[in-house]
Amino acid sequence: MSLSASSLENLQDHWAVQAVGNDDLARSVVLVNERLALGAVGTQIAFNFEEGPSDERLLERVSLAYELAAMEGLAELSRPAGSDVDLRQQATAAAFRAFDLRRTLTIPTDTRERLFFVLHLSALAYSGERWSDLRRWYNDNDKALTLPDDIGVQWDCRLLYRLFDCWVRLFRKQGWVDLDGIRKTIADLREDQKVHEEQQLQEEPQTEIRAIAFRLAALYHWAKATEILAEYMLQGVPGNPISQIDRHFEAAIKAATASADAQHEIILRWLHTAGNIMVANSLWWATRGINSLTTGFVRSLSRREHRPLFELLPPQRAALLEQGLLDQAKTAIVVDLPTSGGKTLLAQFRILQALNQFRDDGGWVAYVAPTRALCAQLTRQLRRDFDPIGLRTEQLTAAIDVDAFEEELLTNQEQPFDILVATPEKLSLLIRNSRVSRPMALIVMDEAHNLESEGRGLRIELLLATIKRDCPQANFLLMMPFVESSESIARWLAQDTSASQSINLSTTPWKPNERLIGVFRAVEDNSARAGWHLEYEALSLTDKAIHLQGVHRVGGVRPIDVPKSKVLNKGEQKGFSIQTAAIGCLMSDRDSAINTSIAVTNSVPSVWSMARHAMNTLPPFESIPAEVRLVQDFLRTEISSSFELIDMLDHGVGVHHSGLSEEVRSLMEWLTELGKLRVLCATSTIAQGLNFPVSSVFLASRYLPEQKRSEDGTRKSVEIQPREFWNLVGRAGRIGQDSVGVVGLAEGTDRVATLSFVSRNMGALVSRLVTLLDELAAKGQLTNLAEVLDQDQWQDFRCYIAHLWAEKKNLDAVIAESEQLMRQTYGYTTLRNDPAQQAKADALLEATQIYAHRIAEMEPGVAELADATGFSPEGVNGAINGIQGLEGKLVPSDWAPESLFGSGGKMADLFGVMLNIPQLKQELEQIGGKGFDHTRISHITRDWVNGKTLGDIAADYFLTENGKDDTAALTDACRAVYRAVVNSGTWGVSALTEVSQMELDSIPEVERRRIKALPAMIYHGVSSEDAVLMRMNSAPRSAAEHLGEMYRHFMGEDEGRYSVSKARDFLKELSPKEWGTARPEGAQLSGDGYKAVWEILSGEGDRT
Amino acid sequence: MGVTWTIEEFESAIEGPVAAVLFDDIGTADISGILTPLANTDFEHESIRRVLSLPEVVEDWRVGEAAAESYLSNHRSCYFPWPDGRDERKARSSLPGADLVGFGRDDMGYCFAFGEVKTSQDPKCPPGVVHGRHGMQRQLEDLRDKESIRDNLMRYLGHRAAKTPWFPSFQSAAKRYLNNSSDIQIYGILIRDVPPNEMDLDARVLRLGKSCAQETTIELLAIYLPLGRIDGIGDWVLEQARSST
Repeated sequence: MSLSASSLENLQDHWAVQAVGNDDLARSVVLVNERLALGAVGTQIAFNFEEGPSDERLLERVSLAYELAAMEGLAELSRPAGSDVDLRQQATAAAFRAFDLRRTLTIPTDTRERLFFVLHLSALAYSGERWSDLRRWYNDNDKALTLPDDIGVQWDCRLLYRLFDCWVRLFRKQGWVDLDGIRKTIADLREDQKVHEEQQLQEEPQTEIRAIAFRLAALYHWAKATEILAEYMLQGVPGNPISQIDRHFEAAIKAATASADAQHEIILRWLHTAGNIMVANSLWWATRGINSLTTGFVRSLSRREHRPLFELLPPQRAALLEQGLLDQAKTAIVVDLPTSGGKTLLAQFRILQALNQFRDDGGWVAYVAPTRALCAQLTRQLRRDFDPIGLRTEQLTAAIDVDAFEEELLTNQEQPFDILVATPEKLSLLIRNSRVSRPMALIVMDEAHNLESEGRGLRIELLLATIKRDCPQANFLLMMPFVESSESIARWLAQDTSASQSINLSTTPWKPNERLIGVFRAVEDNSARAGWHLEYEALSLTDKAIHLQGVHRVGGVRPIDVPKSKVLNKGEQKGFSIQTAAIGCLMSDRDSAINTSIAVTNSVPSVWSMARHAMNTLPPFESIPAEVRLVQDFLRTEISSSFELIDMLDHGVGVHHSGLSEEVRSLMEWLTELGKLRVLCATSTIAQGLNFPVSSVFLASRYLPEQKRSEDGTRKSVEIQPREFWNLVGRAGRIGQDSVGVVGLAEGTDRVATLSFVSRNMGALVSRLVTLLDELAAKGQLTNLAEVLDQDQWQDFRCYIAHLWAEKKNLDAVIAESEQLMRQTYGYTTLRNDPAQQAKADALLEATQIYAHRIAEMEPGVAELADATGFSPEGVNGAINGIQGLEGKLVPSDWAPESLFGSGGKMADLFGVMLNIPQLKQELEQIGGKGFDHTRISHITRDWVNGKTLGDIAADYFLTENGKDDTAALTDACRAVYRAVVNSGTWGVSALTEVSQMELDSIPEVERRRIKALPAMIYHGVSSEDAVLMRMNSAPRSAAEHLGEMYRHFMGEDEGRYSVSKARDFLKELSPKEWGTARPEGAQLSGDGYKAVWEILSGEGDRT
Repeated sequence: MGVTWTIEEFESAIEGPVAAVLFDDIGTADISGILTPLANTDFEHESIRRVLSLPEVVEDWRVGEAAAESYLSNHRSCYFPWPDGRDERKARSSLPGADLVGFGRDDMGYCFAFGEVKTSQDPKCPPGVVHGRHGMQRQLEDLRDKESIRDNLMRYLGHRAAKTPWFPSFQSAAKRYLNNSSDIQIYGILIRDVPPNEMDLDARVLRLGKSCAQETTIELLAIYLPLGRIDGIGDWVLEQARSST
């Protein structure tokens, strides 16, 4: 049973802990926090802590008290399923605390004392569920792990040293080879025994020979137990190693006792427990007997080169073994796991179980993530882990359109996919149009707390409602951080109340790592002219952070070389981006390795400004890392050789925001994950693009980039949601790497508001439907719901009713079933179950029925077109009217790529129509700029499809505007292309193809396919179908057309080549030389470079 | 202080409490429990088997330790939870410890009691075993000054204390120790077979007391056996034990 917070509280009443005295206990907590902070950022933050000569001893004494409490239950702990739960909890809690203290103690210098200290600490970590913290301690104290020189030492001593080394390997689990070294070490010891044992026995005086014999017996038993444990961690055999481990440790302890070696006996007792806990935490143990797919998966995890996995984190273990994650009877599971708690692995186990369960029916799994970048990251990870066991993972583009190639991918019978990764919008399109004939076995929804988000919450809720209705066999797994009362969500999705399971792990004592959370501010510093420096104040407002007293100086005077007036105005704080850049730079230099700081601000121009300050502050790399050079070459080739980011990367500064391509953002994430960037300047949207931790996170503002338009038309800043804030903050501190993750928020002009922001509660997840109704009720407009339904925020709801209509095609049926249909939604269910909310539920039901009447009055087929296009019924009507209003009727030849994207094509007309469709209008209008109209968008689209670089598009369309610099123009170009053209343009063209109701059957198959590929060409920025295939497989755009030609040449004109997986296989086989032949003229990226970038972006190879 | 045992007292002690300490079955190693699974370790085990099957030997100093333990138990309210005598002795223990590990009692209840014992026939006073790197004085100073040694001895007891009849004593001593880790008793005992001589202990008392914490009690004792009785005392005790069974 995993450690509970209450057990930690109860522990304080233990007699040994009480004996220490409250003052000393309190002092020990302060000391531990101060030592952790000092060790982590003591060179950056000038802490003014004071320690007395007796403080070290105080820590030892307190840790001894906890250790005694742990010892009482040690035997209980060493059994995987001990029966005395209270004693087990006591021992775990006590070891948890003892580890907390002992890890801050000075490591002994005497060799033997050091070895025992390390082994003892490690065993405490395992007993106290702190093994991820232990790995971090190992990183910080690698000298303590050194194998002592054993030349000239006695045989027993040599054995001890080697066993120490074996256990260091067992505890750190660096990888297969490292662990496999144990087998060799022990085999070597057996060889050495032949020479050294007899020698020692002969040399020892007769009076001591029996003691030595006992000591050796203890060591041999210990060695054998070590070997069994290592073998199990590597191979999962024998099936139950515990009895063998017990047998040898028990004999070893008897022998150590007989030799009256207290220290040896004590350490063997601890290691015995730690070894058995290690077995119980191992992936092998947790998944034993599940199914062969899972066994294959565990094998592949343990053998992979990059971050091999051997054991579960405590919350993962709790979810798997204690909270029913793999209970087949549970059809809906909601997992509330702290950020960085390893939720993807949990999802993977559930996926394997679902696929196994639905194997005979060809079941598949949908994995939904909120952003394209996250979808790409997940696809890479799933492919890396699942390819070796023969499972096929495919990713759909984020375009709201299923193109011809995706159609092939979805219907491929020869190589059917097992897992499909998609955004909620794309999956919604698939489900509503029944694009996959096989049954959906499971939907995994990552970052499911987006259910409450203003922009997409309703869409996500209705997607889940649709799946619940249209895919009756589907199981649900929702993963989210920090959600209270997630049971109600699980109950909503489950087929019946007994089939729901809520796994709440956010409140367990386990933390991914220690975290320092505070505010920073600029203060005047008269030591230099116009001087200022930064101060950091740790906040004790939350139990999620280390509590520290005082205000502490960070860095020197003018950490960024700007005068005081830029950061302080008559004592009032200002220049928050500068302050944030400054603290980000200061904290990036925490030890010899690079520690990436993420500096977050709330607008793209601010991100660039912050990055410029960071670049001017940080020295350039002495030697630019190869990975950084690769990205620089990519930017030169794909964007422009004068792109500002290239020079920033020389200094280890990256940027990440919506004005960059998905590829560039992925590469920034890749460099960050590898620790090759010092500071990554970003907008807060990075929270959802990042599923790996960093060293520190600093925020210039508590507000989001987007502003909300009030009813009076003014724009209002919106604070980051608490859950979103903690999700972002949760990335600070890398598991197993940094002892302390540092988080800072600029104090800003309103200190009280900033502090209150940090201490807000997250509360339960509320349906957007409920929020919208609450807002209406507050304004007394609940009875007007049917009229309000026309507003944008209700668009997704209208689409949902249209979908129901499209299925029933009968008003009476929709009306008759409307109550039942509404019950599929979380919002309606919540309202209906609450007697105080009946009026809202009634209003919603009534509005649904009124809207169904309205659809009935529309042209036939509108609801079906709404499903097919993703537009609302009103959008479909607008599109139909727009197309009918065009001067000339659109004919198939107008839709041919060379016509549409050539000069004089109809593209401008189509954009004219799109600009009148509410769902497209908003994003298309964001292109803005001088001379904005549909012609301009169509020209940008044409240039984009015809291969112009973003640099050229920026120069042609955006640079001429007043005062625009290159970077601003490029940002605008990226936004125009990636937001407007790629998102709305693709969607619009695809939808208009449907709405125009061309008689596609009358044209040849080849033409038909080309027309169907149009949206994909816009999405990927290429002009041929073969190039689309290359882009779908993450080939860089600059080489995609050439690669497409090579592919066509390689495959011949065979129609069968239009397959995403065949194209992927083709790319996999390309040599760097062949990549080189696809380079455009003058490209900075070499053939090797292209291949490398492709491997990173596609997740093929070992680079990710 | 010094205690002299007459021949009668000595023989009675050897036959009684000392023998009980030396030959208590609880203190006997479970050799078969160690050796039987040794065959499964894939290490060669013949040499160890051979050594452990050699005839039992009781070294002279082990009798000395047993005598010391017995004396403290009977005259100082000390309690040593497991007989130390039959433990195979501390041939280069992993880390320093103490010869005697148990509890003492005073007005406040139980506290930890640690002892170092040296058995010596050296005619010099004090004998050579008092001095040097492994001498009694250094060992006692270590027990007095090094908390890490005392902590380990406490752990040693702690690991064995659960569910034993002496757990309340341990708990009481541990509470005192956790509150103040100088709150202990330390004993230094010389087992001698030379004429009693105050010089055996005198100078040491001053030096040990000099930087001793107020709460720590250090007592030095010399037990004088009949003259010349140490040499061969182990064999003699073993013989006595065999003849009595």
